[in-house]
Parts: sequence; structure tokens; C-alpha cells
Amino acid sequence: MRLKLVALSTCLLVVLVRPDGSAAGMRFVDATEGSGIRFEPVCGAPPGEKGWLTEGMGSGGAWLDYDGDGNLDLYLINGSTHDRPAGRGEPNRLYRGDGKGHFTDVTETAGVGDRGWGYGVAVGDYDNDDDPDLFVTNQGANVLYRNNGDGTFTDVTAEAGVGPSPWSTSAAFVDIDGDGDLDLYVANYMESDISKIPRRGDKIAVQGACGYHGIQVFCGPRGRRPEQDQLFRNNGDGTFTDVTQSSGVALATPRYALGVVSGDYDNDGDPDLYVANDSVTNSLWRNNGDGTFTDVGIASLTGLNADGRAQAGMGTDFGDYNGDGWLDLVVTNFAHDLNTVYRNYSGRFFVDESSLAGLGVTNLALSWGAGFHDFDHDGDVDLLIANGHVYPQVDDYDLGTSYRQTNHLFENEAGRFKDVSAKSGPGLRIARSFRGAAFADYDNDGDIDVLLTTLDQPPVLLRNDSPNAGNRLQLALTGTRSNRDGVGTRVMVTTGSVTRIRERKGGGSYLSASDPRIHVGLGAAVRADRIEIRWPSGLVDVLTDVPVNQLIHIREGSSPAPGFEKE
Amino acid sequence: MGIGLAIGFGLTVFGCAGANDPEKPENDGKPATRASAPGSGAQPTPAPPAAFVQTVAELERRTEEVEKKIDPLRREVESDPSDARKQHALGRALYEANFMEQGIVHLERAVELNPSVRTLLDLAAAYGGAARLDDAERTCKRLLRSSPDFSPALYNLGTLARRRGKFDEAVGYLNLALEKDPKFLLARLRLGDSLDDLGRRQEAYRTYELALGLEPNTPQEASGYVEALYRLASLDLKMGAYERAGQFLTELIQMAPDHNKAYYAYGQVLLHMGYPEEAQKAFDKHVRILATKEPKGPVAMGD
Repeated sequence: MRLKLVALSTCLLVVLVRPDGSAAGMRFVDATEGSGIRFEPVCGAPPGEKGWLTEGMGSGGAWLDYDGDGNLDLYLINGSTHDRPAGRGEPNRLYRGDGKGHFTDVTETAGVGDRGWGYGVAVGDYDNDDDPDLFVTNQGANVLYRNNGDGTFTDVTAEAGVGPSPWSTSAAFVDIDGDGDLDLYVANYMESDISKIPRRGDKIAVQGACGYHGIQVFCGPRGRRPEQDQLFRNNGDGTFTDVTQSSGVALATPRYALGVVSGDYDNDGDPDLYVANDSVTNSLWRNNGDGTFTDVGIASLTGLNADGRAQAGMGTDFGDYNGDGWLDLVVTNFAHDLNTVYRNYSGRFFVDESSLAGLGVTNLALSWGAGFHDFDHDGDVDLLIANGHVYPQVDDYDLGTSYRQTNHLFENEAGRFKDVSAKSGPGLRIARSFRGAAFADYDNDGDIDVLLTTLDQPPVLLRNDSPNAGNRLQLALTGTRSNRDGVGTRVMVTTGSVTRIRERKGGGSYLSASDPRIHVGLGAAVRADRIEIRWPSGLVDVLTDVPVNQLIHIREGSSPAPGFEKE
Repeated sequence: MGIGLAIGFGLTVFGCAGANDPEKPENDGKPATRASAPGSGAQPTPAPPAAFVQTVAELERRTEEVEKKIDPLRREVESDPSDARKQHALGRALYEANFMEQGIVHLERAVELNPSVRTLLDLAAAYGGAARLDDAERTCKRLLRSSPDFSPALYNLGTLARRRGKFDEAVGYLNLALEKDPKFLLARLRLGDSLDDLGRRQEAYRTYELALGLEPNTPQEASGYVEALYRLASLDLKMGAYERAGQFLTELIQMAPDHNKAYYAYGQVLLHMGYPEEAQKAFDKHVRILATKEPKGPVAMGD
């Protein structure tokens, strides 16, 4: 009997483990080469010569279908150096995708090659004309590109009134007041005038927050002047009004914001906002239902970790990782600290369950982009986290960490995350100083791939080649009464006794924007018994008995639930 | 406010709002709605920790002050470079003012002149502070060659190994430190931490239990005792032994009523035991204590 068991185990080993060491669960491969994405990011001086943190933050990328051909395109943000005049940085780039993994640089014809010192990007159809527009965050003035619908864009920043900014990082398009158009939250960081910040190695820097384990490094944000985040209300005529003060999101002491994501954490039907701040308390902005907000970061226990300590919040995402119907949170943090998973207890409060959830292994990584996605279609959301240090100097010391790091992939096992990075294919073994993570099914094969941006090195496109993945559904939403993108829409997919929730979120993790389509894994189920789509307008559409493994286009009001009129 | 709130299984939330307590949140017991969501109504939201500001001018002033303090020590050393005591004093002052490499130069000179236990320990600490972990390790081993039973050196080697993520090695050194000094409470805690890092949870648990067997005689030891209680409760929480976790936390809160983390952990215990309303009170207490404390510095850039 024992011999038989050993023989069986050996067979399983042969079946389950590939020559490259990846397990049968999830597998990611590097698909950058041959993809046509040739992008050399610049963010200040080369690694060993960086003097200020402006040079260590990197930049993001966004997936969008700018030409409406059904294939996702890629927009990548580029930076500059301190010795160049403003507006003379490296241009951002737009790559047109063919849906098969090949991309063509169309920056010049599209007219989106902004040359500011770029950091982040948000995507949203702010003018409800059925094509995605782009908002680029910069050190200095931000840029809003309106999609003309013919493959070109127009810089409408001045007329829209969303340009002025000191140093913006992430941004989110979200309809805060339920009036059917997308408003804009802009996360701002700190003063960027380097004449006011000590340079690494300056004598005075020694007395500032400019050390790391005794190593002289560039100064962190603490002690520098933070900048106020901005909230712009869409007037519906192509212009925006700055409602930072009147909406309640202005803080007496602004915080160093790096990440923003929207999600309805209290299931009351309006979008709330979570802002990951660097070195200070994070903000959970509860929507009061009228487009004004209350910061419940401290009261909800999402402002600090379980130790009551502020962390260096970078990226963030909402997702229901334990399948209880409430959106939980992940926030990525600095090295020698844990990334934080906050479990949502019925919208009343959140509890830092990082260790309980299995994130203790991330302690030595410095983390940025993060996303809850069902990479293996087993019905629960897994977690991918992009890692990379800010200080090249750490490589000269034995601190258990390094400048270039591999990323973390966690498989969700009944609400606990198991680190499967080492056995999930060669793509997870690439070490860079990663920053942004933009998730998308760029090759239209039904699973979620990921584009990872890096500091000073080309981005990495990881294709999801997970074998034996379960069934799935994708939903492309088009709002009619609600905002055209359907941001804020809650989708509930029921198979048997299990209901999974997904939400069309605004914002994206660390300076980036992901696939606008809703994706849900369904395991072995061959049909979804019921799909309920709750639009921000209040309309509810319902589909029943839906075959799996397809992309469904849903127009608001086309399949109304009983009690709702058809559009 | 009374002693608190008995909620079954013999657990008590000390200092939490009771049924008729004026501090009882308005939304107590109600389902989550907009009105009862965190931060709504009369539920207090303490102000977040204030930011501190360091302008370039302020840093220049602070640098000048530091230089003023160090200058006399420099002159002393210049007047007699062969005086180990003066080299030691200057080295420490520079190190404490964050001029670590300069401080190390003078501490090394002090050790050359007089390799006493004190100078070697300070040099090892300075190396550790400057992330020169190899040098710190070498210095601790040098100390051990002259004083083989010196448990602080073994403890330091253990913590250095922990810093490098070499937890097996840390366990070895910390066990040695405890062989030399079984009452070394801090070493006992670090040993438990290292075992926990290695996933040897039961051994970690036994180690913390042993720490509880040490009678705390000094405030520092009492603090170590409290931390042992906290770690035991945390492990119990991870292992699903919620009742026992609650008992440890109850004892902890009696000893250290302002231990906000204990209230947080207690809230988690109560949630798992099915008492969300009581958990909310424990979390509220955690928040209220936090608001009275100096904010802890983050693990972040430049910190």
C-alpha cells in the first residue's frame, strides 16, 4: 500500500510540476519580447546617482481600448530628469494592441506624447461620448486628453480646468454624486521643488529623515510639505469645478497620497474612496450620498495597522477576498514592514488581518502595485503585488532585501493567501525595481494578464498561461443613465449557492489603470444561474442561465430586473 | 466607567463602554447602514497624528546645534588622540548625531587603544546602526573571545542574524544567550519571535510561556512580561484558540491598561467568537488610546 502511494505521488509530481518549476495552478510568462513594446522609462538620474525621492517613484501605465476595436491598447507614462526644463521630459507612449499580444506605437498620430515629468494615469469617458479619455498626472501641471473618437486625442486641460497641480501621483475617475458623469479625484504627494529638499549626502540631510538602517539615502517625505489632494466635479459640459473644500476632502494637514481606488465598502450604493498615503494615516473617504465625504480612516481602522502605526502606503485595491459580500482592502507598504490586508466586517469596521491572511512573507519586499484578481478562475480573488526597493544602496549591505526584487503572487485558499510566487512560472522570477501593476486580458483569451512598470528599466508584460484554469465570464458595461463606463457598478454572479461580487472600480494600483471589463472566475460551473448588475443610477439588470467563457456586453437597462423599466 | 463588560467565556473588556455608558457608540448593535458606518453620527474620530515639518532652514539650524555640541569633543581628541575615553566619547556623540561613519572611526580608535567590553559593545552597536552587519558580527565575536559567557554579545549576534533573515542562526545564538543567562527576558522574547518566523509555532509558544515564568523585577522586565502575554495571545489568535487568547489579553490589559494593541487583538478575538458589538467597543478603545499617544514613526522612506 505504501509503495502504491509513493508511486502515485511521483505520478502527481510529474503531472503537476512543469520543467520550469511552475505548478499546475497559476503560470505567468514574460511576453514582452516580440510584443512591440519598446519603452525606456526615465525617472531622474540613474540608480546610483539619485539624490531626491522625486527620482525613485517610477511611473505607471494604463490599459484602454482607445479606438473601440475590442482590443486593449497600452498607454505608458514617462518621466524626466532634474536638469531638463519643464515639459522637456521623455514622451509618454500609446501602443495600439491587436488583441493577440502585438502592439504598435501610435503616440504621434494619437497626439498623447505629453513630455511632462509623468507619474500616473487614469482612464475614463468623462464626456460620455463612448470612448475613453486619459488623465495624466505629472510633477507640475497635469494633462487631460479628450478622445476625439477617430484615433486622436486633444489636450483639453485648460478648458476642463483640471491642470494645476504641484506633484500628482494616482488619480481616479468616479461619479461621486450620482449625476451620470465621471468626476475626478487626484492624489497629490508633496512639494517637488528640490531646492527645498536636502539632496542625498548633504550635510544637513543627516539631520533629516534621510537614512535607512543607518545608510545615507535620499530623504523621505516626512518633514517635507505635503500637498492637498484635489477633487473635481464634472459639470457635464466638458469642464470641471474644484470641489476639494466643499466636498470635505480637504485636510487641515494634507497627507502624502500615492494610491487611490474607489469602491462601495459599506454597500450603500455610492462610491467611497480609499487613499493610500506615504508615512502617515491612510484615508477612507465615506461618501455621504451627496458627493461629500467624511474621513473614517481612523474610526474604520483602515488608517493605521494593527500596531496603531502609520505605514508607507503605496498601492491599494478593493476586493472581496473572503467571499462574504463586502469589499476588503489591500495596501502595499515599505520593506521590513507588512503589506496590509484589511478585512471588512459588514461595513462597520475593518480589521488588519495581514498575518492571519498569510501576508507575513512580504516583510522584506518593498511593495507598490497590487490587485485582487481571479487569475486561475477558481472563483476567488488571488493577489499579485509588484515589488522593488527605492534605494540602490541596499545592495551594498546585508539587510535581507535588495534593490531589484521579484513579485509576489498569492493564491487564495479559502480566504487565506498562499505564496505561490516561486512555482508560478518564469514571469514571477524576474527581478526588477517594479512599480505599477496594470491588470488586463490584453490577448482576449479570457484570463487576466499584467503589465508591470519598473524604475529605469523597460516594463514587463506577463501573460497568464495558467493551465487547467476554471471557467469564467467577462462583462463589458455601458451605462446609459449612469456614467458611460459604469464605474461604481456592482455585479453579483451566482452559481448554485455561491454569489461572487465584483465592482467596476475607479483608480488603479500604483499610478496605473486596469482593464475596464469585469472579470469573474467560476470554477467548474458551466452556467451562471444569475447575474445581477446594480448600476450607480439604481437600475438593476438581471441575466439568468448564462453560459460561461464568454464576454457579455451589457447596456444599462437592457435586461431590467422585475420592477425596472426597459430603456 | 466600570471595570467593563462581561461577555461570556470569562472574558472581560476592561475599560470599554458598557451598556449604559455615556461613551457607548450610537450605532451599537445596529446593522451597517450609512448612518451607522464608521465615523458617522456622534462617534468620535480622533485627529490623525500631526505631521512634523523639517524645512531646509530648520535642518541647517539643527546641524549647527549638533556641530556646536560635538566641537568641544573634537578639540579634546585633537589635544590627546591617544586617550581612549575621549575617542570613545567623540565616537558616541557623532554616532548619536547620525554622523555614523565618522563616529565609527573614533570608536574603532577607542577600541584599538582600550578594547574594553563597553567600547566593543558600543562599536558593535554603531556598526549595526550603520548597516555594517559583518563588522558588527565580527566585533561581537571578538567580545566573546575575551568574555565567552557574555550573554549580551550572544543576544546581539542573535538579533543581527534576525535582521538578515537568518532565523535558524538567530535561534542558535539566542539559545546560547539563554544558557548563559536563563533570566534574560529579552533574549527569550526574541527567541520566540525567531521560532515563530521559522514557522515553529509550538516552540515559539513554549518559549513565550517560559518568559512568563520569569518574575518581572524591573519596569523593563515588566514590559517584557507584557509583551510575552501579547505574543502568546497573538499566536493563540492565529491558531484559533480564541478563549485562551482572550484570557492572556485580559491579564495583559490589567497590567498595561493603555496597551492599545491588546484591545485591537481583543477585538479580533471577540469578532471570531461572534461578538461584533463588543469587538467594536474594543476597537474604539484601541482608537481612543492611540489618540493619547505620540504617534509611532512609520517604516518608510528616510525613516
